[in-house]
Amino acid sequence: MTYDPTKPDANESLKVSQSPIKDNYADAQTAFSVNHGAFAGPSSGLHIVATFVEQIGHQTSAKGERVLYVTPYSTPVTPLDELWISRVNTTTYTPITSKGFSSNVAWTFLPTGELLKYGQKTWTGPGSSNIPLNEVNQPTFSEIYWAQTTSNNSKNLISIINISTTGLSLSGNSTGSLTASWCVLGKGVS
Amino acid sequence: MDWNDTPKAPDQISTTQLPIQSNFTGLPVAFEINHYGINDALKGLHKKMTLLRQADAPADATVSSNKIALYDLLSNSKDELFVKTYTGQRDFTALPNILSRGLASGVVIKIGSSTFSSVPASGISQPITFNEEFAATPHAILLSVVMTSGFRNTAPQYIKVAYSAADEKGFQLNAATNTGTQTGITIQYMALGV
Repeated sequence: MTYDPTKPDANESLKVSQSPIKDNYADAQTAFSVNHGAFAGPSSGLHIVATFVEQIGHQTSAKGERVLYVTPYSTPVTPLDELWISRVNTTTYTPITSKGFSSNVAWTFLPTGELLKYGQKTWTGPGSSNIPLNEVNQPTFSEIYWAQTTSNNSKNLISIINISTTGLSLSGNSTGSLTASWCVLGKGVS
Repeated sequence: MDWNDTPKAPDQISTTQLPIQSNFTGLPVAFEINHYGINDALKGLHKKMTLLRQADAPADATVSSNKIALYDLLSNSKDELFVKTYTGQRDFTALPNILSRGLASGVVIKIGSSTFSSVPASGISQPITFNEEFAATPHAILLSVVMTSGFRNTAPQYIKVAYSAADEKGFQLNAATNTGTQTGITIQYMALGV
């Protein structure tokens, strides 16, 4: 049955209202036990698991709140339901469970909202190679905080010669195949 | 308190009033654990979320396509927060251990350092083995290794650092000076993958 807060009626005798009262109790216990320890048990009120059901659109948060919720992240090629954090500034939403890869770039978000992009790049030296940081179907940077690169060969001197929110340029001084790992941390736009 | 299976149909209210009231009293007590009270303006909202350790991850059937589940499992003798999504194979620890820091997305950052007692110009190499391997599935291996170039102690020498033979188990850390020998060189590294 459905929980009925109007029961018992004032003019009902107990033998009439006993059944809806008990039904209400049963429904309350059932609802209470979803994701939580059973009412009368030692874990009463504590969470067994926290299951988040997909919501339509972003969930706002008021001052003093952090809100966790699930809604699809539409940027990747295949949008998936992701767990998001909403902060006081309700225009800031971070899909903390999202990640992705292309042939050039891997990416993920930190729970604080920073975007982390990283990967390995191979090109022919001497010379530079550009790594796009604004590929479609990926989140982008609005600001770059930090970047680093390292060669896979100590004979090759690899360095970052340019970086912006749209791309990273690596340069090497050796002839032939150059490979370097790289990592960029910045303010993400989800 | 225990839940009272009351009232019974033939009960008099004088008999069942107390257990009914006891049930009513018990409900908000349990309701208020982790949540704002039943009479609070914020009732139902969480003050915090305490997750109890589970023996196993939630069954796949309980995490359908429109759901994500958070839960606590024992991992390496520590309680860790896990997230499970419908896409499967995405159970992971979302809290860090010492040398392998998992992000909520499943991306893992492994950090560490290694010290060479002496680095010559001809170069030196030593293996780095991760305390836990990266997964060995497509796009899930080690995807990036970045390192500092080390601290030089004699100008104008500098130290070149590089990696080689990187895979899900570890990599080879290589160092060389441009000239002469440097001693006691510590290289910090960070490896990223899934």
